[in-house]
Amino acid sequence: MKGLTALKPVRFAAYALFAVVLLALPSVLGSNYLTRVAVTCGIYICLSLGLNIVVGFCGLLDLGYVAFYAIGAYTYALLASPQFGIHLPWLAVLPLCALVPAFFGVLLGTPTLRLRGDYLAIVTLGFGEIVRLFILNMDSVTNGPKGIANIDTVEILGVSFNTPTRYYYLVLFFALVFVIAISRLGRSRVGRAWGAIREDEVAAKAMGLNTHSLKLRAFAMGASFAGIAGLLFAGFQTFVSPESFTFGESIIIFCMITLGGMGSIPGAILGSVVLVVLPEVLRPVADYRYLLYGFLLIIVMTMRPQGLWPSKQRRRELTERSEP
Amino acid sequence: MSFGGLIAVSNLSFQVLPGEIVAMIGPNGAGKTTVFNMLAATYRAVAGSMMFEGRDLGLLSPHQVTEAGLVRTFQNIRLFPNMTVLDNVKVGRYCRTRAGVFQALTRLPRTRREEREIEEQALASLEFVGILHRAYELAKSLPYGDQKLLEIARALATGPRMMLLDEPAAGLNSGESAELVSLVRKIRADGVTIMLIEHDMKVVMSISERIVVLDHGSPICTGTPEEVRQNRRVIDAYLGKAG
Repeated sequence: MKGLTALKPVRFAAYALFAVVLLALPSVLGSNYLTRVAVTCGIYICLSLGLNIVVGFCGLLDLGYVAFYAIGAYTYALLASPQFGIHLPWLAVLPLCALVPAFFGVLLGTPTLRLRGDYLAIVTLGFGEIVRLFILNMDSVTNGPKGIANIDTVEILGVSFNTPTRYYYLVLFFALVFVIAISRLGRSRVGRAWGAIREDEVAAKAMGLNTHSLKLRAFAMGASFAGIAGLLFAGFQTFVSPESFTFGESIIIFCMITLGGMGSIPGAILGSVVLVVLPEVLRPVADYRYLLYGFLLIIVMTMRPQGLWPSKQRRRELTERSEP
Repeated sequence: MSFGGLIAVSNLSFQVLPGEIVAMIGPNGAGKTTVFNMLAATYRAVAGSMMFEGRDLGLLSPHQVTEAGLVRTFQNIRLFPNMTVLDNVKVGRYCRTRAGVFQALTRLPRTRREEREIEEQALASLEFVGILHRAYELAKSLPYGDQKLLEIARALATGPRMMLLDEPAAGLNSGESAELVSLVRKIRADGVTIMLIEHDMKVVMSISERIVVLDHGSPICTGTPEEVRQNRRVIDAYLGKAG
């Protein structure tokens, strides 16, 4: 206990140092290319934090998560581009990019959340593909495989986020908000209830939890996080096409939270950074890039099944023995 | 209640009065746990009705039964193994509290106050059953006896008016089951009606005021421990018919 109190200033200093590094990062990185990588990291951090609610907290195996990311991205793309000549202000689209995916999350979840484990995984996987195929084939609305180009650059109250450095700060802000939101959710009444469902759904019901409504809420929360990540992505690229929202994306986000440590916030962050940066680092060996990438993943998961930075609970889960 | 062609429980009728301790006994496979599962709405009865304080339990879903004040424990312990003991009990407070996602995100004073109350009440439940010192351990790391107590604490945290205990003494040694008996009495003294399934006759005979005996899904006898002990059909059911 004494050690813990003595640690506090150290902890504070670590946080402060971390904050300074994050704020100074664009100038340290210097080049636009590296700053763009940092922005991409930030977008994936938002995505994996959202998936962490669904999978890490509530234990719902959602393999179609990328669909909500796509819905968020296309919501912005359609409402702020020459596609239909609509140019809504960014701040007006922001809530829509959270609400529209949440609505689809509820729509998907209402009939399917009765399913468990692998069955749910298959249904959500199907949903992810359906959304992608819709986008691909609804030419008149989404422009099909050509995608939507010339999306408005993000402008908030007269400030234009038109350089990678500026955009970096925007994404950093959202990542920070997400971290705070998730840590609050995790320690709340609803967060505990999600944990109970993950642990034993029958017992959770018997203890008075409306598990269906709770699972829907987890789904909707995760979906709106993904939607906002989609908004950030679309505003950054100023271009969206179905290519960015394949099943492979869902798997990569899944890998990020598994690699980092299921249910852990720093884990999701670390996992995202590693899996975004790694392919960039491996660029010189382009041909073998994904071979090495997969190989490294296997090594990490064999040596550290709990993830790179597991949540306190997960660490105990794997280390503490259980009585009968 | 029937499973496919098998009729698991039929012709059963009993009444439990407020403040009573009633036991349900019967040989293995008699349908005792099935009765609990029907009361708790885990199973749907195909015929008949079950009323609890004027409400038809057959119309409720499991969580609504708990909300209505009827809570159960499980024969084979069902805790949230990878959550702390305290969090297990806090989950029990869920149906008596309100904060939703929005409140969790904003953490206004009211939400914090509610969270403090949840903690206080959860700790009180743990103290009541006597495992307060285990509050910060993981549920799965508790010894068996304490896990059983934790299940009771968690059920108590839901603020029940009646508890269904499914074999609370199973696997406990004689000292532990004596403690359990006094715990059950203490719960009843707090105004909670108790119905329990139990095989340990010492426990059954010492705490129950009335006993319902089931065999092959039908009641064969209802009465005080003394009456049940002397009932011919009960003896036959347990020991087999003599010549």
